[in-house]
Amino acid sequence: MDLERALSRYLELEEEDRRKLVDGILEIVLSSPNSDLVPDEVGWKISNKFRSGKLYGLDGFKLLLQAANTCEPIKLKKFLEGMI
Amino acid sequence: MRFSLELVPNNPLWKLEIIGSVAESIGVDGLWLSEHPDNRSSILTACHLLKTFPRLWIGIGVLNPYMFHPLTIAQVAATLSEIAPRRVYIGVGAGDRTSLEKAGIRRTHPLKRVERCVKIVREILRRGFYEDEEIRIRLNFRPRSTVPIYVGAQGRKMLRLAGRIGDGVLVNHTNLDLLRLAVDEVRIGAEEANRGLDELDLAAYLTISISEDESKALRAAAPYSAYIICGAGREFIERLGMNPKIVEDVRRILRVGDWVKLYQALPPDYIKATTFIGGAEELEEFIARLSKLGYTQIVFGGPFGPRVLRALRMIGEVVKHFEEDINRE
Repeated sequence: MDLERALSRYLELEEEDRRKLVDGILEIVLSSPNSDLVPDEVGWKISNKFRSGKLYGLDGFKLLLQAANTCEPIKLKKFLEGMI
Repeated sequence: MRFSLELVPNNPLWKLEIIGSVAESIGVDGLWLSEHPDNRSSILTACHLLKTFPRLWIGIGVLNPYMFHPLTIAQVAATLSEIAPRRVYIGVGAGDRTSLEKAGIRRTHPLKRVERCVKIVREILRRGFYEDEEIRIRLNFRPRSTVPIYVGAQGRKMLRLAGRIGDGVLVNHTNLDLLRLAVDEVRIGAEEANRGLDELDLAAYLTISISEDESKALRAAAPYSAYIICGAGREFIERLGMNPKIVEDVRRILRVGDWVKLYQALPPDYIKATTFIGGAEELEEFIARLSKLGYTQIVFGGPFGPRVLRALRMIGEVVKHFEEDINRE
């Protein structure tokens, strides 16, 4: 599953399914012991969006994809294959 | 019953912010930041989080008097009270022997050191100055609020000391029998100081791995359990009936950091004896028992569970259950 395809699939999903998708990737990032690998700039943006309730938008999804692909690329791939 | 969450600053600050935000949303009152010399500074992390979360209190737990001079602890507490009056707690404890040894420090006379540290910090925070045969210090500024001092304790003598001198006690156990014995020791200490157990905040600082899937919960908790076992004294090991040979094997494997071998060597019973493994209902039952024993605060400590976000939301269900109970009463 390439990330471009994940993005286009995200746009096709209904609101509820988008939230599930975003929650799943956020779970990967929060549960990862490798989150120090995520660029701080990306991490801060994710936190700001999470706290302002904007993480479920397209920009938030893109940031999460970037973060999860950095710290847990294999888990992300498996998760996307199962979800999309 | 009050509820708080432990955050470990081995995670990036942005991640701690997200978890703090989840903590706020699930109804916990505060965050305890653990202090380890190889992690980010709990003190600087506290500064950031106190500014970020105006509704949560933040505790730093625990600072040990070997790495942090009592004057530094008092200075930190007084400064933080200016950032967030009445939202700062300080934990003082003897520190982890292994971590101190790595820093070239021998943990000598832990009871005396902790007692003296608490005395100095308290005096400075209350009166703005402290004086004895060795130290003479006067703050050039005024602490903005009282800062409760919690004593982190595990062994019998430290638990008694905590009961005697602490505004609160952080009981560093998850095993129900040990938590029960700890209450007795703290009570004895409190009585020595002519006060009741109800005059201090008795916090159970738990290691939690919550999940519907026990095998995954065990796996997530294994490294935490191993650290607890390796840092524990002989009395703890004997009381839990652990085989000293297995304990020695775990210590050796942990030193090398071979996680695959650790999962093979550490019996699930040992993990269950040192951490909480189970689902939301079991956690509710466990907390209800602790409440009956006299605990007044539950600190949910890591790893939380194999899936952190899911685990935090399950913890939120547990917190809600107890809040509803209180509202019914």
